[in-house]
Parts: sequence; C-alpha cells; structure tokens
Amino acid sequence: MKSFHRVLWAICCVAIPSSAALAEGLGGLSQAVDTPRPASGIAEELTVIFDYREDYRALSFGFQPSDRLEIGISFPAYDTGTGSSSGNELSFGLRLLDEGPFIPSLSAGIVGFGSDDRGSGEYIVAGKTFGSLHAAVGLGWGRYALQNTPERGSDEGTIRTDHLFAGDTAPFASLVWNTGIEGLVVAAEYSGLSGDAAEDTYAASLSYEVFDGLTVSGLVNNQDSLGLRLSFQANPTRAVLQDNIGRGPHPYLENTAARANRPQPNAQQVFDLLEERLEKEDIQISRFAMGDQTIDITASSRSDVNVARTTGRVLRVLSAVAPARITTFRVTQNTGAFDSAVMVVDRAGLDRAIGQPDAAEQAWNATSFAASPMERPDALHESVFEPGLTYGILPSFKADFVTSDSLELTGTLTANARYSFSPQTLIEGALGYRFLNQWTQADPPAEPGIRSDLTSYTPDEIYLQSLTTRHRFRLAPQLYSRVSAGLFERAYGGVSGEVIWRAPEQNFALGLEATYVQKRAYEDWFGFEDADATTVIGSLYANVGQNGDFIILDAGQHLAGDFAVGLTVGRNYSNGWRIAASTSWSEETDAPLKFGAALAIPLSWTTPQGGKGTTDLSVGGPSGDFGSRVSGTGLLYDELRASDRKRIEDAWGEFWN
Amino acid sequence: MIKALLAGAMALALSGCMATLGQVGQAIMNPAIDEEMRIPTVNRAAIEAADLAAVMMISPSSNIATVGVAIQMREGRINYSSNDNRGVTLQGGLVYATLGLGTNLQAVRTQADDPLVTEAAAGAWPTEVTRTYVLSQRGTVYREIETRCTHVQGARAQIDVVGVMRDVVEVGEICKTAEGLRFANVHYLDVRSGRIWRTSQWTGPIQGNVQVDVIDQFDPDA
Repeated sequence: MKSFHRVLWAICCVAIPSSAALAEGLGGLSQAVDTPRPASGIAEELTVIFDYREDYRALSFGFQPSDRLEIGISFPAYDTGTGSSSGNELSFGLRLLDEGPFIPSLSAGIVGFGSDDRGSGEYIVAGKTFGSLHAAVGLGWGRYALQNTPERGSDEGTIRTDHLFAGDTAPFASLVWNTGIEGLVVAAEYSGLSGDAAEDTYAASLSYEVFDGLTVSGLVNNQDSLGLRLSFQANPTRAVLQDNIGRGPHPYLENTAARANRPQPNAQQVFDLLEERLEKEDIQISRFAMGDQTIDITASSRSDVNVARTTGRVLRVLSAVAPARITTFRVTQNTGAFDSAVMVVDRAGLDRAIGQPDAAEQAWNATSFAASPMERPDALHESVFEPGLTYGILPSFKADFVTSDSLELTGTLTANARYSFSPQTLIEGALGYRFLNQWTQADPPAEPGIRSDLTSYTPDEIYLQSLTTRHRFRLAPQLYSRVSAGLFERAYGGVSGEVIWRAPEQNFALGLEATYVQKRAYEDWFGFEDADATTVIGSLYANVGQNGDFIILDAGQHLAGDFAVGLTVGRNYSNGWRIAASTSWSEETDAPLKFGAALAIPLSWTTPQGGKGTTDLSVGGPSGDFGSRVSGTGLLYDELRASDRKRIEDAWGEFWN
Repeated sequence: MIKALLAGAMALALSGCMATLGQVGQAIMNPAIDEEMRIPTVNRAAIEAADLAAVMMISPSSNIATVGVAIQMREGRINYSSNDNRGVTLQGGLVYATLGLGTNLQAVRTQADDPLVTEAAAGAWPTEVTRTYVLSQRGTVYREIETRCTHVQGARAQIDVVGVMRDVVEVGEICKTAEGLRFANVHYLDVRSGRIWRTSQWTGPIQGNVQVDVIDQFDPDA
C-alpha cells in the first residue's frame, strides 16, 4: 500500500460574462453575514469557506500572512436567472488602524481585484469590540453599491485601477455576538443594497462550531434568500496537538577528554548501537560509513516530516556512540531518487551549543551544506534496494464548473500502482472513475482543443488516467535530471525531459523542462488525436525571507504555443503545512489573471499517528487553453524541495527536540 | 488547567492570605488529571539501593507522568531522563528545560540569587525574582518570555512525596509577564535545607505547569 494517505479537493473554473447583481461574497476575507468586518488580526490564520445558496455558490480561501493583511482567493458561481456566471477572484484586506480602548479599528479591502466578470468591490470598515459583541460599520463601492460592471476590473486584458474607491457608495453595518454558549455565534447586519423584495437588505446568521475549526452557519435575509455556509478555520502555527509529546530525543553527550581515554568502539559497534537506538525513534539508516575523523550517514524518519529534528536526533545518538576521534558528522538527505544535500556538522560546535538558550543558532552555525559527491567510497552499511510494487486508491472531490453550469461537487476515485525497478527508475499508472456527477459527453470539436474540450472525453466508465515511465539521474553533483515517457494525463501523452541546477548552499534553483506531447483520443485508452504540442518552460525556484516563504516563476512556451508566465507564491511550515497561491499570464489570453490556491495539511497536525501524510486541498489551477502545461511528467523540484537549505533552516528550531 | 492556574493566581494576588495560598496550591498540585494519565508506580527501594537520584515528572497539559533518573550534570545543571527520553533539567530546584513532556522548554535565564537555583531557605527569598523563559521558534531564533515573580510563604506541613513523608515549607510564587500573562508556581522546600521536594513550575504558555517530585535527591558527593 502506498505510504501516503491523501484526499484531494480541487476546483476548476471558467469565467462566463454576467450582467445581473445577486448575492455577493467577500472573496475569502472576513465577513459578518455578507458584509465586511475587520480581519481577526491573528497572523497565519487560514480559512476555507463554502457558501451555498439558491442563486449563489462560492468556494473561497482566506489567509492572513501577517496580523494586518488578509488575502482571499474565491471561485463564485452566480445564477443570474437567464444563465450562470462564474468568477475567479483575488481580494485583499488591510487593517489600517488597531482598535484601542476608545477608538475603533479601521480596515479597507478590495474584493475581486482585476475581475473581468463582475468588477471589483471596495470597502472601508470600522470595528469595535464591546465584551462579547463586535460592531462594525462601513461604506462599500462597486459591487457593494450595485455597480457590477466588468469595467471595474479589466479592460482588454489590462487590469484597471482608476475605479477603486470611486463612484457610488452604499453603507453597511453589522453586529456579531458570541453568545457564550460554546461555539454559538449570532450575527445581524444591514446593507443599503436593494433587491427584488426590499429597498434595503437585512440579514442574519446563526453559526455553530461543530468541532475545532469547522463551523456551520445558517444565513437568511429579507430578499427571500436562504443559505448555508461551511467554514474551516485553522492556524498552521497552532497545532491541535501539543508539540513534543512523543518520545524524547536521546541525551547528548559531549566529546570530553575523559571519553578519549576510554576504549573506542569500531565502526561495526558504532553502527550497531546507532541502528538500535535510532530504530526506537523510527529513524532508519540507509548508509553508514566511518573514516578517521568523519562519520557519513544517510538517515530518514518514517514518521517525522521535520528534517531538522530528524537530523538533530541522529546527531544526538552519534554524540553518544561515536569514537572520540570523530570531529565531523556528515548527514546526507535522500529524496528516494537522489542524495540531495549533505549537512556537514562540526562536533565541537554541537558540544558548545548543547543546553544553551541559543542552542539552535549555535548548532546552525556549526553546520554547512555541500553537494553529495557522485562517487563515494564503500560504506560499512548500505541498504540494498528491492524492486517492488506499491499501489493505492485515492478519492478526490471537485467543486467543478468546467463540466457543469454551477459550482457542483464531483467525486473521482483513482486507483494507482507503481513498480520501482530502482530508486531512480519506475513505471506507474492510474485508473480513474468519476462516481459522482458525471458530465454529459459533448461531441468532439473539429479541431482538438487544449483544455476546453474536457467534456468530449468518455464519461461513465473507467478511464486510463496515466501510464508513464520515469528515470531520474544526476548529471553532476548539483545537476539533477529526469526523462519521462507515456500517457502523462487524461489529455496528453508523449516524452518529457527536465534538468534542475540546485546548489545546496543556495536558496534558489533553476529548472528547464521540454515536453513533446500528442493529444490523447477522446474515446479509447491508448489512441491519439491528430494534434501535438511542444512546451519548453524555464523555472526559478526560490526560498525567500525568514518565514518559509517561497516563489516559483515559470516562463516559456506552453501547450497552445503561447508564451506564458506563471507565478506561485507560498509558505512552508516546519510541521508540514504548505500554503500556496498561483496565477498566470499568457500573451494570448483575454483575461489578465487567473488564480489558484493549494493547501497541504499534515495528518500529524491532528493525530500522533499521522506520520508524513497530508490532506491536500486546491482551488483553481489549469483550466483554460492558454498558459497551460502538461501535468504528470514528474517535476523534480517536488521531491527536492524538502531538503532545501532554507527549508531546513526554517525548521531548525526543532533541531534539539 | 490554564484557566484554573490563572484563576488561582488572580485570587492569590488579590488576597495574599495563607488560606488562599493553600487553595492555589491544591489547585495546582492536584490538577484535574485526565483519565488517560497514568502515574507510574515507583520502586523506591530499588532506586535507593542503586543510589540513583530520581524525580517523578508530571505534565498535566499533555497527560504525561514519568520517572527520570539523573544521567548528566552539565554546568551545574542535572539532566533527569526517563526510559523514553522524556526529561527535565534542574538547576537547583529550578526547572531549566524540559523534553518530551509537551511543548519543550529550551532554557531559563535567571538571576544569580534566584532562590530556586540556590535552594535558599524559605525565609531568605528575595522580594522579586526575574526569569526569562526561552522557547524555540521558527528558524534559529527563539522566543523569550520575561517574567517577574513575587513569593508568598506558606505554612509548614508534612507531605507525601512518592511514598515518603517530608517536612516542608510551602512557598507560592505569583508571576507576571510583560504581556500581562499571569501564572503561579508552588514549591515545597525541605524545612532544614531549603532543597525542593516538590515543585510545580510554569514552563511555557502551552505546556503550562510541570510538577516535579524529588524521589531521591542528587548528591554531588555520592
């Protein structure tokens, strides 16, 4: 069985123009019922919201990268009465003034920035807390004043800004009361928006936190609208479980002069002790070599995603069992296919660090990074790889309006299998079946499309999602490469090659992928349509700042032959959380920006038995014909990034734990 | 548990009387232990026969209770570690660090005459003690929480410390951080030597108070 357990949520979307004004969401930003309220002010707070109403559905992500700023990405779908309208929106909220004993907080926000569908909406809102009651009052522009015009978003592919906070306004006000009954919150609000049933809108909601982080809300307003809202709220820095409740680390022993005078163990004795003690910590050794002054070890944890903590635990045991003459420990990171980095640790530096308040910083200063050499001398122990088969079943759910008119939940079951000939070479395949809300098969287009012809593929039966072979190898110590061939995804099959330059001591890597593909047949598993494409995409992968932040910039020729640029920004957490948002621009597209977001929640965050598994959620991603690349080729950085120097440094606070 | 500590601390700060100290001590030293927490059985005779310095460690916030023996002395601090490597580092009677009992405490910086470190008799404690708690954070930086503690001396008593009755003096500490967080420590000092037999000390905002019962004192001359 595959070692990971994942549930995949995704949403794909296409934008359809609209003209009518209906219920409006806040695009993932903080809200009372439907009107804005100031952000919580808690950095790293994350929210996923699903709104369901008769005429409006939306899936939204909200994230507060700092205590002042919140960012939302939202995928709303509106029933306009004569059709449907769906969007792809980016929103920002900023707290300008903090709440004081006598003054309210003041925030401003832009919802649907650059939207080519309904235009943007802007607001300013003042908020004040009175015990368990929070009151807010503000002014809205654009869509919050019934000015729903695409001109408030983009103009022939160019994002407009001259309309922001300009034009007609409408007032709003809200009260949110925490009842004191555990998990029960009541909200009421007024907005100056007119509707079919009344000149002004009054709304109320009743929310109940079912369990930690998951809230169900019932919504009602005087415009004859009822709704349901599910929201999941979490903070990656605030674990459900307390940290460090598992087995503690091995005691560290300094390399004192007294130890040098005792009988010294040989390499086999050191290895045996090391293996026995690390086994108790669920750490396995795949390679061990001992020289005159150096011990070289490749080790990995079966259950801990934190490379720094695993390394610290290995070094703690080494401190106790290594002969006194050993001055340097070399701990190699292995991704499965590659030895991706070597941490070279000065033993004397660790001796000085242990027990000090700044022990983590001192240990970091005693550590340097190097590339693993292409050839290494024989080791005392080296695990022998055994070829083998792994397999698993992966359910995924999509809130999908590519193949339906509204944001509709679909479910797919994917059975996958992989046979590994060596750590570098494998063949894998996946069969899929959409068990919930199939699409109606459309006639194949006269000319095969890029992505927009998805509904021409056969529904209602098991399909071959992918069947590929992949080989990964290093061309030089810092040059990683891959070749892949086969059916990469439902729509494309072909050949692909990739090279990544990545120096272990640097905080960035450069990659280049070239792929030639043929469009797969609409009706059968192995056939092809008469259409092909070549993509050549260069990538910059960079870890920036001190918060686990990263940027990925992709540029080059994409599937439609168009030149496109993709940008992904995100944040990695040492406990395995990962949050990312992406957008892309193509020279051919008529919409300026499309957005996607992805979230990985480690199972170890909620259960001690979680291991290295994650629950993955994503919204957006490739859906249009332009700026789209082939998926399933096996991009190398996905397996290299865990041993990035900056990521290890970000997790280094756990080194001694 | 945190609410109980805060409530106790507030009550003690407001009244300052001995009866309240007793109530706070009871609240802290007898936490509402979850059913899952098992207090290990201690073979005191075996510990004493082996001449091991040993402590019982109880972390109510994580439902962990375990026995550790002294395995190392580093810069005058004693490391106690259990079979599964959970442990505390004691500097005199001060809990300097914890491992595997919850969210680890990395270190505590304190003043030279901290009565917990010097193991001063109850009557010789300074008016106020400043301690700085160090907790690891993202990256190589660490979080420092400075606290100021004042103490209240309680009555002499006899308490059962892992099966042996000890003559002790009760001392309570009311502490406050710069951010306004309040917590309470309670210590039971040997009437004659001032050494700690039982102590419940705050070890961080998440892990909260950890209780240490000294089964057999560390003797540097042994």
